[in-house]
Amino acid sequence: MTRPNNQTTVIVAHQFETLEQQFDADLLGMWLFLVTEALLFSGAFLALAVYYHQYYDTFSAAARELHWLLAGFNSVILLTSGLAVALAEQAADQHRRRLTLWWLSATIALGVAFLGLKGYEYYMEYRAGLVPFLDQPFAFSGPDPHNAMLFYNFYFAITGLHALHMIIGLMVLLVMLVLTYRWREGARVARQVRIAGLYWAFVDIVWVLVYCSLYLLGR
Amino acid sequence: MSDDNETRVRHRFVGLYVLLLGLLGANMAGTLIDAGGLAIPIRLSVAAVMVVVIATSFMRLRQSSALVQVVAVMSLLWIMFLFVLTFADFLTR
Repeated sequence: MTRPNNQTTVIVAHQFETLEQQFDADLLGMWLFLVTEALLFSGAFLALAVYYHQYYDTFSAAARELHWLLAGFNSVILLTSGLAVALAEQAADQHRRRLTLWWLSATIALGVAFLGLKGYEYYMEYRAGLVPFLDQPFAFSGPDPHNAMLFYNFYFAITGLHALHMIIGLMVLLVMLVLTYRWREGARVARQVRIAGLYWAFVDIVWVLVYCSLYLLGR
Repeated sequence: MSDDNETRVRHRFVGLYVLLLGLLGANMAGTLIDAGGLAIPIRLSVAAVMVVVIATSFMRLRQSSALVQVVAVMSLLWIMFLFVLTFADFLTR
């Protein structure tokens, strides 16, 4: 396992014997948190799968109205941000402050670009009358608009939940940026960046599944 | 970490990133082909491979402690229970 070096400069929390033990506990804690997050999204995907099975034709027709190419480009942006945060972790492990700052900044910029494009996509769907709330007339022209509305409810709920996680991830990365800028203890910064990177990679994983299930399955 | 090792790790990350882009492109291109009943299993399988690549490499699951690996596998098991038991009921009504 890649571990931060320069351990002598780090204060180990009193309940741990070594920095390694503390690092392992931090990682385990983050993984356990991500398991709960995975179960949260699983519930949403399960409900989507059940209704997809029941109303396959309607859900497929509704999915074809989504901007799959724009969302595909957004997937490229998010995967690139995943690479950037992995490189930030590597730079932090090597105690290269400037490089860590650069890769963290790139990750944040790509994350903001993703959210901007997602917002634009929501705007286009709003203009097309595909938002089944906000007191807007539902303008879906395909078959069975009542159940198509159900698909768009799933779409906005799941992508909205993902966007919320993106915003939280961006805030965490901004804190990492400040901590890296201050660079008080190299090993501690490396550990914190690694844990923040885990969360960001999880957000990547969720998007891969969101893109496949909402945009591609019905095509 | 030596410079050689650093470069090797960086190249590995970039290689996996290119692989992920390739899988994404394949999944998108797959929508242009009529694969019939196989379309959904294929798309889900490609997405599952992408998830495994991200989890094992970018989240460094392969290099993590055995305890973390057990936690990750158990979460997958619980999610499988969720899907299998729900569909076992739903599809046999």
